[in-house]
Amino acid sequence: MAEDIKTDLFERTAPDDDARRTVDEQPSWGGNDAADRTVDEAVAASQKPLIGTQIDGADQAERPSGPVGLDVGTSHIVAAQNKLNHVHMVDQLNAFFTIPVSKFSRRILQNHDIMFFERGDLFYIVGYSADSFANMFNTSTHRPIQGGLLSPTEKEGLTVVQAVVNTLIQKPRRFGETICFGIPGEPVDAQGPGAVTYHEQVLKMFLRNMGYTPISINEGMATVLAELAGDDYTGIGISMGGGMCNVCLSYLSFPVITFSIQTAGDYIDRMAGLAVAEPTTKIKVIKEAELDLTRDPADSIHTALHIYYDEVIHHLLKNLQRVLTASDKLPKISKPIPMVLSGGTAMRGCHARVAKLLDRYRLPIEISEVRLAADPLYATAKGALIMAMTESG
Amino acid sequence: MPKTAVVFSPDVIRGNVMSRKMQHEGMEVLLFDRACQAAEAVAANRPSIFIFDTCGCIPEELRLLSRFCASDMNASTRAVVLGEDANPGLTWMRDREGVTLLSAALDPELLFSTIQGLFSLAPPAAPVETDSLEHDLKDFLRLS
Ligand SMILES: Nc1ncnc2c1ncn2[C@@H]1O[C@H](COP(=O)(O)OP(=O)(O)O)[C@@H](O)[C@H]1O
Repeated sequence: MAEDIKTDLFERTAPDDDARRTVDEQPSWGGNDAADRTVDEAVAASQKPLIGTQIDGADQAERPSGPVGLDVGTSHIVAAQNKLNHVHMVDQLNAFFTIPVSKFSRRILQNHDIMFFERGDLFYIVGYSADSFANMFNTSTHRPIQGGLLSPTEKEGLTVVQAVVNTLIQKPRRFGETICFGIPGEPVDAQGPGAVTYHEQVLKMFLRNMGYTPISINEGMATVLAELAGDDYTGIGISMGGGMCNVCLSYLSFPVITFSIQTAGDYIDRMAGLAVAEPTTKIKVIKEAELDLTRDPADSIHTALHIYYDEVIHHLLKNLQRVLTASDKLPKISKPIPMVLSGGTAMRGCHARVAKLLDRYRLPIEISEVRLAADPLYATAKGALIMAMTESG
Repeated sequence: MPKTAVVFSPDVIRGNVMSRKMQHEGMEVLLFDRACQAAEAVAANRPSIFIFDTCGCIPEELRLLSRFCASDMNASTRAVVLGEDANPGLTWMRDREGVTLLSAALDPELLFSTIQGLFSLAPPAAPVETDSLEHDLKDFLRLS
């Protein structure tokens, strides 16, 4: 009838689940060796080097033989598995491109090992292949989850995400293997409540049908698990991706406060592009290859990128201040706590900029430092893997 | 040092935050979001500490707490109640032995140091006497 906290180091986000487990389980005072070992293994996995691979052809997906961590981002989907000496990451572009159905194009796609599916009178080319096709046609790919959340009104969304996930992992070797996937926090700046619930539940259904036991973790919390082992998992984790920034304040590995904003890297590209009248794709390439937010901007494109990066950071910090100040759940923490940033948008000196702009905001807790995750693009998947390993024991 | 605690909080987040702190300090914790189950666990397991968070409690739960502390609670268990002194539902516990009232603010560090304080007031345990005996002996032999 109770929860033995010792066996459950990393908490999931859904309060209902917590409450249910609180009352459904039998009391047990003692330590649980098996569970402790699982937690140890999960923590050990968090210290291993990450080796990443981009999937660029069909039929490369593995059948996992252990727990899996999955980051379903606006731009990329990343799967993580624990191997003997490293954590193995595979990533795929979360994008698609359509061409009309014809016998000729079908043969071309099949001959070139390109990942696609057919729906109506269109072929949907997914992943990095979609990018190559879009370049060939001098246009850009489409995103199945524009604002970071699957929505019932976007018909292709789930099908494309399923196809992309299928390029990374197949069904597990052991039926019922644990898979933990990242979910955003409730957005503070758009959509009604419940948007995350739909996103979470359809992904769960899909992964369950693949033969997994799916659990979810807030993306900010996953960043905490991946990066804050040395801080007793106490601090603020923020994943800054393409469509969203996800924030989680964790206290001793429990996600106390979570939220998200729907402005991130894509917004920076779009707004900077509009400002200097250049295509978004060009702005994105320059941003990813050249931008340095710690230096003064050299030209008008860099200036525009600085301006919109600052806008996103201010929006993030303003909402962090709002949410923390309004919360009645925030525990008093006497020691300053770290803030750790992950995701593509956190790169290029963004963490230094966040540290600088943070001075202008009075938060009810003190921040000791702002860090960049060791592997910003893989931190969410790694945190999800740690959670999956912990829960699968 | 207290070893075991039963925590009741109707709020999942507050309950987990308090439990995590105590577990982090080496205690075994059982967490409940229903008062009657928490009371049953206290009666059955005789923990060192029973933490009862009144924040968000309904009057029934406060009445259950008062009845439980008055009659069924084991003498070896100390209760720490989180709530406001002004709460009329908590007047019964002023001056009640074995029950400490702490502000309802979520301050896990203060909660833990209060618990430590309660136990440091307890009669000294055997190892402390051994230590002092050893200390006296060392003094006598001029070894320290
Ligand atoms: N090296 C880089 N420098 C700056 N921005 C980057 C870099 N790599 C990716 N990004 C940006 O990060 C965002 C995607 O980050 P990612 O962590 O993959 O997000 P998501 O979780 O949304 O898939 C995009 O806006 C992309 O332009």
